[in-house]
Amino acid sequence: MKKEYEQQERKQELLRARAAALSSAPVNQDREAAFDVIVFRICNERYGIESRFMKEVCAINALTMIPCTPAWLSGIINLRGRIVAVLNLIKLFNLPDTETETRKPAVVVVGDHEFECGILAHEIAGHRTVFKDEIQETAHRTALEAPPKWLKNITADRLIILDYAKIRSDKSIIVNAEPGEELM
Amino acid sequence: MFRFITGSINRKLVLLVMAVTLVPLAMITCLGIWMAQDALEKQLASGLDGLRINKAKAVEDHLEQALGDAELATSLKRVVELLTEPNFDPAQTDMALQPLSSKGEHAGIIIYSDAKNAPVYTSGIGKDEVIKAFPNSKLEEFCRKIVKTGKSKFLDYIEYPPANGLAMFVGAPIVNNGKTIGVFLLLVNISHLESIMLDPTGLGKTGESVIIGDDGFMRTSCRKRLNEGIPSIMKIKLSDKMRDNAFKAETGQTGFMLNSHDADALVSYSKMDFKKISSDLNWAIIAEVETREIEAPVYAIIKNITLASLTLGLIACFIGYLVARSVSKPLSSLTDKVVKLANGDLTVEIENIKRDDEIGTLIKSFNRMLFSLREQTTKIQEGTTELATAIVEISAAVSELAANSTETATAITEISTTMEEVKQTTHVAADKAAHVSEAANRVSSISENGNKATHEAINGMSLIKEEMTSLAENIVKLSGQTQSIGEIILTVNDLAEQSNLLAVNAAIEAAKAGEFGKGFAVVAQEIKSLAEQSKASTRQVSGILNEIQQATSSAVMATERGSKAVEAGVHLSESAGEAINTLAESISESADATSQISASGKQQIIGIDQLSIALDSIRTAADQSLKGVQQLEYASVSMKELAAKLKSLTEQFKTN
Repeated sequence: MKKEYEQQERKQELLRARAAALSSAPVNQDREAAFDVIVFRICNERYGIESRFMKEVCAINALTMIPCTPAWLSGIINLRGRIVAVLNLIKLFNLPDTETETRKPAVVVVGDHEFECGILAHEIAGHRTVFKDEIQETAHRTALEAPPKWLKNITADRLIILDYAKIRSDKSIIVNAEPGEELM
Repeated sequence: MFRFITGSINRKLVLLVMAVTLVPLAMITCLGIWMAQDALEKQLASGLDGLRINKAKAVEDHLEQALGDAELATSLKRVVELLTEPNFDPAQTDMALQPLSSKGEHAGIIIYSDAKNAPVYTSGIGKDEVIKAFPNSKLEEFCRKIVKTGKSKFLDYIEYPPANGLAMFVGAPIVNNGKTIGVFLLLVNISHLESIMLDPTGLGKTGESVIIGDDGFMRTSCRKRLNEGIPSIMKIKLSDKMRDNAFKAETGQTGFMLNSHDADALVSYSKMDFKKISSDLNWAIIAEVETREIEAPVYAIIKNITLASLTLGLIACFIGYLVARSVSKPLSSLTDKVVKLANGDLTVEIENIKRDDEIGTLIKSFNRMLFSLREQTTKIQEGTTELATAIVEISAAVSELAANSTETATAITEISTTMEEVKQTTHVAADKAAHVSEAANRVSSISENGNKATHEAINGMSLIKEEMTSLAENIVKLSGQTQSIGEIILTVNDLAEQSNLLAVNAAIEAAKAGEFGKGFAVVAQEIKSLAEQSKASTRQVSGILNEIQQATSSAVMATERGSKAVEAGVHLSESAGEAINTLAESISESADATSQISASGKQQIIGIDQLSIALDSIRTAADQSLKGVQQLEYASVSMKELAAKLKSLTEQFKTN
């Protein structure tokens, strides 16, 4: 009986050690971390934005639509007193809309001390570190169905990393239409 | 050729007449020729014999006279004196011998003197030449022989130049005082012998008569050679066979052999018999006529007879043809008609010939026969046609009858089979009826039990119905509770979502804090994983809940269906009870009916048995009648064939 019990104990200990080893994040001294990203999902594609340009993520309860704006501008939200415009990348880049789940959408708010905007996402996946050797050559971008012009990099596991600088400098997302002017 | 002759009576008759005429003619001809030839030969032979004998006689006479003359001369005084008297004038001897030499029968005279051993006198021939030719000649030898023997002798032909050729001598001794002092030699006139032998009288064209010596050489000329200018005396030699035959024949014979011209000839020959003269001559005489000369008349006879035969044959042919024609002409026309008749043509007509002989009678009788045959055949043809029609009708009727009886037999067989089946069915029905009445009794008791059971079933059903109602209520309650659980799960899920976002924000903040926020980032990560775990749990719970909800809803449906089924069951059991009651009643009724059925079934069996016996007898009768009809059919078929044969037979005769 006792022997059996000891055996059982040893087996349990072994399994626990293995679980710990597996659960701990892989620490690789050779790998050089490039940057941290917040990962979110739009339709079947995963996108990432560097977390240093990230303000916050939030679930939206009410989205206020604004008349006389382009279709890619879903609307505006009130984020603790700040008005943030929410962009719909599907419509902006004419991506195929394959989403079937009807859950409450999330908004990824990016910006700096001057600029701020929200991106409508179907799900917030979380946050991860991107290593340099993960980043692939830009030649593979053509593999994407419709490469967004904001693209910065693609990782090996097909994470599309958006370039905040391009978003910031993009003039086309500035809606400043005079009455009667044709919308983009 | 043989066929050509035997094929026609005309030709046969002509040939026969020809044969009858020509055969005896030919026989007579042959016989006549033979006999004529024989007679001719005999006549010729006898003629030749006579000729030979005559000529031999003439030659002998001539020689005899010469001998006589010579011997006579020796007795003359002047001849002796010529030898004995010296200085004797030979002119006196001439005078003395004048009569002898003037006869002209002798060619010359020589007187030999033994004392002088030389010729001392010649007459008709040159003395000097004689004396010159004398020494050591045959003549000298001959003279010596005569002197020696003192007998007269003939010297056969010798070459004697003083006579310009051949010469023949006869010598006689001159005796003076018993002593031979000389020889009187007389030169025989050869031309006289020649003239005797060449006399053509009785020899015909090719006839020859010659004298031969024992050396085989001719002593007289051959006529034919003489005409051709060829000398033959002592030049031509006959064949040894002929010579031997001739010298053997003492009395004379005739025969056919080759002559000196190598031609067949009838030869008469004999040795010359010099009886009256003691002759040293060994001669034979031959007379011959060539065979072709003998046969020439025979050939002429043959020619004439042949010509006559041919003429006779032609006449016989013509007569035979006329006779044969008179017989064969009506016969051949009759033959043509009869051939047609044999082929079945009865329409032939033969013209009546006005003849009273057998052929006329034959043709008349034939016409009568033809007429009656034609009438009979017509009648027979009509009869057969009627017969054939009748037979066809009969056979049709018989065929119908046969078909009908066959059908009847089949029908009877079917009926009897059906009867058997009905019988068996009736048996079965009776058995079944008995079974049914038993079963009905059993069923009535079972139906009572069934009635009770249905009542019990109805009670059970109402209990089930109550239970089902309570079950449905419980399930409905359960479903409401699961709904509230679902609401709670939604809330939990929402919370998890929010905590997830919170964790992300915390991570963002931690990132902004840099090195100082690292610990905070870990906390945020933990919160995030917690949120994810709770989310997963809620997902599982909601899945289970979904299943529960489905199960409860199907249970509700099932209970509803169950309660409906129970109600239907109650109804059904009630109706079953009623049905069982009516069943029991009807069964008792049917039990009564089956007993009646079984009773009637027995009666039916008896009836069917009687029926089947009757049917058996009917069937036997039908079989017999069928056999009879079949025989009738066979008979009618054979009759039909017979009629057809008869018809074809009669149709072979053409009557009009």
